[in-house]
Amino acid sequence: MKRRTLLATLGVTAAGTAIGTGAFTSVEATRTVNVNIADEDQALLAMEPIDDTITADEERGEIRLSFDEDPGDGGNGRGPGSESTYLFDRLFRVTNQGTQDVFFESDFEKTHGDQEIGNVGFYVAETDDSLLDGESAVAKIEPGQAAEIGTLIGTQGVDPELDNSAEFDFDATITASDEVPGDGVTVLDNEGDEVNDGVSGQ
Amino acid sequence: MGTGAFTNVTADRQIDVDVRDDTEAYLALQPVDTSGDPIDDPENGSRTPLAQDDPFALINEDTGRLDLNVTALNVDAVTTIPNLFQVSNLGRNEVDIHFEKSFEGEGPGNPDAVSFYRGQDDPETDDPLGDEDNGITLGDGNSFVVDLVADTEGIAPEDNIINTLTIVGVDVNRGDSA
Repeated sequence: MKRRTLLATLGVTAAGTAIGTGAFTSVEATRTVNVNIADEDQALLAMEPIDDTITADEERGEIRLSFDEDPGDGGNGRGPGSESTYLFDRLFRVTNQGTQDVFFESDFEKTHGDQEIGNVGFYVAETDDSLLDGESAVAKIEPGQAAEIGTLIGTQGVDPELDNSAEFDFDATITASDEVPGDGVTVLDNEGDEVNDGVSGQ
Repeated sequence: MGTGAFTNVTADRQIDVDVRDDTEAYLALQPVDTSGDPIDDPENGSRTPLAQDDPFALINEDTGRLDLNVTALNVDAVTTIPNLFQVSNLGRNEVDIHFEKSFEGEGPGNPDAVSFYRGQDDPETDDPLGDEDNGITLGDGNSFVVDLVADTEGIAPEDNIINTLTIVGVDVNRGDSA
């Protein structure tokens, strides 16, 4: 009988403790995380060639622009000439497959060794007077929208004789950020039309 | 004199354990919206980008646990997914929290390609949430939002990256009285 009482008391104590619990000393919670790389044309910022004579898919799905080859269709030029500005409209398509508006811009390494490689820029649609360098202009791409990106190449000041191959390989760093650009930066929409306030125009 | 010597005693005691979904656990994990606020229907998941079939974060309706999905990263790119989920201390004591990342499966994976940051931190200047040395102290009733940063430079699309995140919370006073 006494023993039963003791048990009962313990039982109550245990229940009493249970009510107040919530002070945990230690917890380890293991959770599943799925992280994968998608093909470039199916990624959050999807990129794919439009003009596949100049824009090609690399092995890993990365796009690569080549202005050093036969353009095909009977053309046999081999690259841009010196002291010139070339425009290549609509070379590749960038689609926002994320969840919020992004502002597209790009930076280029503008040297090759110790040589200047001239002027290079991306632009949206045919708006080549607003290069998307993040300082003068950016292109706003809403989720589900695609922008067709062209490339300006200016060879002023580049002497092809300096380098017999006259070939320059360099990287473009493309940035698509949801950070609204500062004042003074022109915001274009995915068709190249100016957006007034940077925030969704309605 | 001889009492107290027993060879065996069996005594059943009641222990009530109510295992809760992650959203209601002492260490609560909740999917959040773009503003960093917990979403109303966590089993339905937070936002789903067009490039993915699954939302970035959801409470799995079978397991009650948080699942994270970031499955359409660009190759050779740094991607930031802000406001992925919230960690809340719904216990009664202050705890030190740190994160452990791992890949379990064939090969080593690339768990270091993924970093988790506290929402108010700046990946440019602040350290990611890592081991005990890079954890954070969370008072009871407090919470923080977690961002994900993935750097896929040098990783082939078919390579494994990460499949497990372990969130560890330990009472700040644990060990002091031992």
